[in-house]
Amino acid sequence: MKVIEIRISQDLCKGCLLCVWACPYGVLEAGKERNYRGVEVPIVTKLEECRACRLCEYRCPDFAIQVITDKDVEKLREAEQMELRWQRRVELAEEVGVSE
Amino acid sequence: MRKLDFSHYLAKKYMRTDMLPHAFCPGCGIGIIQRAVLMAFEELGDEEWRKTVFVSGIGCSGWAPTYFRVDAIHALHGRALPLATGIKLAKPHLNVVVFMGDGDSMAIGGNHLIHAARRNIGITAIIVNNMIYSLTGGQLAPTTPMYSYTNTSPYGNIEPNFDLMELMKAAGATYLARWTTWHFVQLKNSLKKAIKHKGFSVVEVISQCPTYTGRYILRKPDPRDYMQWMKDNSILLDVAKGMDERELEGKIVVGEFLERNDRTEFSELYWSLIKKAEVKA
Repeated sequence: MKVIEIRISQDLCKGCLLCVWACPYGVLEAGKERNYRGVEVPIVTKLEECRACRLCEYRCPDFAIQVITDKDVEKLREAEQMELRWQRRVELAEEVGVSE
Repeated sequence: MRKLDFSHYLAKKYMRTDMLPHAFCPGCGIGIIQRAVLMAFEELGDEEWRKTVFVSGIGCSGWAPTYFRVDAIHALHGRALPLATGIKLAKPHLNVVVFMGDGDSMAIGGNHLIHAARRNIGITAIIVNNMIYSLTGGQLAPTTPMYSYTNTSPYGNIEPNFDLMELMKAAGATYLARWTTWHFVQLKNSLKKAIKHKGFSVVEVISQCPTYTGRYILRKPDPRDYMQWMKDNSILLDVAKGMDERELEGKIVVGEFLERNDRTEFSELYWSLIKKAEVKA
């Protein structure tokens, strides 16, 4: 298994830094710059140290962080398809006015 | 519709992504519990997810199932279990999962909890315990530890707190487990067992509330210190059996407390009674 990327969302992160605390290998670090929300979103500094134990994912309360290994790429694409189907449903409901 | 830039496998598969980011404070434990529930269902399979109904009460934890892409009811304060009982009796093949906070389940809805356990109805109750009334601003709850300071107990709390596991064992629940949000994998496995279990199953999760419990009770407003405290102060059930009361003071006993299969599930009795009455009529 090879870790390709650790993706941290700027839109969802609330800056509690639990992921930085949870990582046993010091892969993540608190970012220096603040995002639009005014929080320090963590940055990935040592990707080669990551063993994909996913402790940072388990500790994140905001669904903001995802470790992507070569096995996850296909799974993630499927999930994105399901999300697209959901978004289409929401848009349809907004057009018809069901959500009101 | 606003498009968010994120890629989380479970959130994309199971959650209403148009409602994200969710309403909880930074570092709140409910997000971790949501993830544990989704992961349990991911391992149980799509079939189980499709026949699941979520019911929730009032409180911060009541918001948790509204972010899932399933049928969910946001019930009155303390009345999540009566609604869930109705659903389970009408459609016994459904999985009914109830999200409750400690105020919702043990304070205003305490009676409903005891009687659901007495009937042994097939509901899974996930009780999020953060030791304080957080939604309303940090008042004293029945789960607040003794001698701790809150907004409404400025000279220290003199009421002993509830031990939910002992209460439920006496009332007749058939699956009991207690974990903290730090014990993520154990929590997920217990949730899997509880959802599969026939009969009333209770999973109590000690969750962190950095905003109120952290500020007033523990004096640890940083969620990282809070989680470290939960890690240091939780004792496994097998270890705790050999310890006396003074050693266990201020500690959280975690583990699987009970699993029994000798009691009949309530909806089975109910439907067999209906069939008996139909034959007579």
